[in-house]
Amino acid sequence: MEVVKIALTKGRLLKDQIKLLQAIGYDCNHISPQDRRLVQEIPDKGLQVVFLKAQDVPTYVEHGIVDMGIVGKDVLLEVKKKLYEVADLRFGRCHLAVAGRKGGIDGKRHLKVATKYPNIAKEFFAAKGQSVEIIKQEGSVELAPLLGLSDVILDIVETGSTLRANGLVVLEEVMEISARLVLNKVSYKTKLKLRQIIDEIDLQLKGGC
Amino acid sequence: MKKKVILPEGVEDLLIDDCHFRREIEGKLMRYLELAGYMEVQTPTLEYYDLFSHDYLSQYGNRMFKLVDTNGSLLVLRPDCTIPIARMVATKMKDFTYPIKLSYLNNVFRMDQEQSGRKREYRQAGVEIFGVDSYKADVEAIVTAIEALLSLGLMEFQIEIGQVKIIKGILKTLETTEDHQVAILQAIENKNLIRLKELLDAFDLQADTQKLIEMLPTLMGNPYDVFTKLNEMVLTRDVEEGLNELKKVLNLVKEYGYEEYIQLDLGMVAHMDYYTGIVFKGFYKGLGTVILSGGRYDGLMEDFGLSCSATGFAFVVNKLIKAIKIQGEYTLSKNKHILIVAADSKYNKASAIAKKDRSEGNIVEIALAEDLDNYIKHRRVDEVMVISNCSEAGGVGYGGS
Repeated sequence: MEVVKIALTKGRLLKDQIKLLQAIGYDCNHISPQDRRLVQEIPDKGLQVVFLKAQDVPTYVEHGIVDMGIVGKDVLLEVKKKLYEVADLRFGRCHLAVAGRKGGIDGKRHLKVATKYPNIAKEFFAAKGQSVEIIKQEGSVELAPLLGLSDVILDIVETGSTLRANGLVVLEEVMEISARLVLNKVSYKTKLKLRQIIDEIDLQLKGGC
Repeated sequence: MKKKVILPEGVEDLLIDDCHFRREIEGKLMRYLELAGYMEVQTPTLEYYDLFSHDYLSQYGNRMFKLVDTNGSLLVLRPDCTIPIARMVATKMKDFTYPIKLSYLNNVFRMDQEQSGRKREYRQAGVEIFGVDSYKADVEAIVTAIEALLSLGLMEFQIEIGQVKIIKGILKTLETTEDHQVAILQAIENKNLIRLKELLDAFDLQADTQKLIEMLPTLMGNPYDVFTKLNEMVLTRDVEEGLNELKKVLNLVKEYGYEEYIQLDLGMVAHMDYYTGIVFKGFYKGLGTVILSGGRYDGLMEDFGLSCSATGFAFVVNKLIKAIKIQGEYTLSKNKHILIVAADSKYNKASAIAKKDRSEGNIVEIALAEDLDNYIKHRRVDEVMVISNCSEAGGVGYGGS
């Protein structure tokens, strides 16, 4: 049987990804990111699953180590790999936004921006002609403006409660984000089964939501 | 003091076995190209930056390794093989009898994003055909690619053909900014149907045109199916022309008997300012990367003041080798390995034997090692010949492991 490998993103998107696979008939009861097996198999279906950190998903797909992956649009924009992005899976919706203290940047010509997305930030501010200094962060980006490391942050905002709790407000929307289905460019051409899975997902998206 | 011993990113040492394997594959490949009538040429590793600084090459711009010449001019390490060969043909070979069929085997250098797992120095082997305007040269290029792969024993590969004229023909009808056009092309290339629709919705397009563009990324796979889908569509003359050319190519490839290797992808967007007609790529089933790519680039020679059609393609040698290794079952040709152990006074005789055996294609070494047993075992020596002071030459078989 032709085997297709799919990379799922660990973290907040995982539940919806599993739900999607279940819905198109792949029994996910025996796979889990906590499992010690690195590559896990969905019985009798020829589908192998690996759980990766979001930033690694596009890399694995680009190199053809896995045939397909599910990952947030934010990550795709940040890492810019060569792959096919064929479907908007419509879950994991949130915004990329610039946030800071209310009125905190009034009159400032040059901004310090703390972000986990340095490339997106660079492009976004360059397009606006805004001069910035970008400070790459790994986590808890909200701390940066509070402690004076940066003027603003560029980060994903789901409900806005984290921002509010830290006394920050959204200053500008950057774009909407959701989970995407991405494919290795060659696998899409050479593996028939891959196309079947895409069709099943398509059908599910059209009918389900 | 100990020297710095790490390598720069994206380059590699090839150890003995890998080197041997690569040489054998390259040898076979270049031999096939020679037999198919291609003449090998070599361009230098260093070229002027200006040669590659055209608009349509901007993709290379910040990805070239640059050096400064003593007089201050900017040099680059060859980032591509086709452009230097086009330069060479236009300046030194333009009076040759056409068509000119050339082949090459060169290292190219590209500064890719760091830590992306991509090579920054790699080898390309390829061909260029100058001076043939007709679809027959496209077929020749495609068939050369197929037969070269077959000569290497590769089986489950696919050649995917696209036609730039179709996309260009359609985009010509859109009145749009360049940025918008680039965005549309990118959406087509990434088969991002959602984004494509968004971009197109911004225009007030005719329903037919919109439908056709939206369909482009999905026009792939079996040629027959693709043409069936297109039958229902209204096409402009440019598009029709491009399509007819594609059909001619497919028919002739079919005559060659290579239909089974062919697929289409009309959404193939390959450096649109550079390619002008039929484009193609090759894949191997078990490998997630392209092993060869190429196409027609009729406009390039004009940059060198010569109006001349051209088409060609290049193999990415390390990917090709990877594909062959994944497929397995490839056995390297092996010569008999003979080790001669001779006393000083018998070197004259040893030398004569070595010459004779080497002329028959055997690997022959005069022993240098102290620990002979170990050497014989690790180098997989097949036969040891001892010529001592008192004896005539006599073979002692070790029956190679």
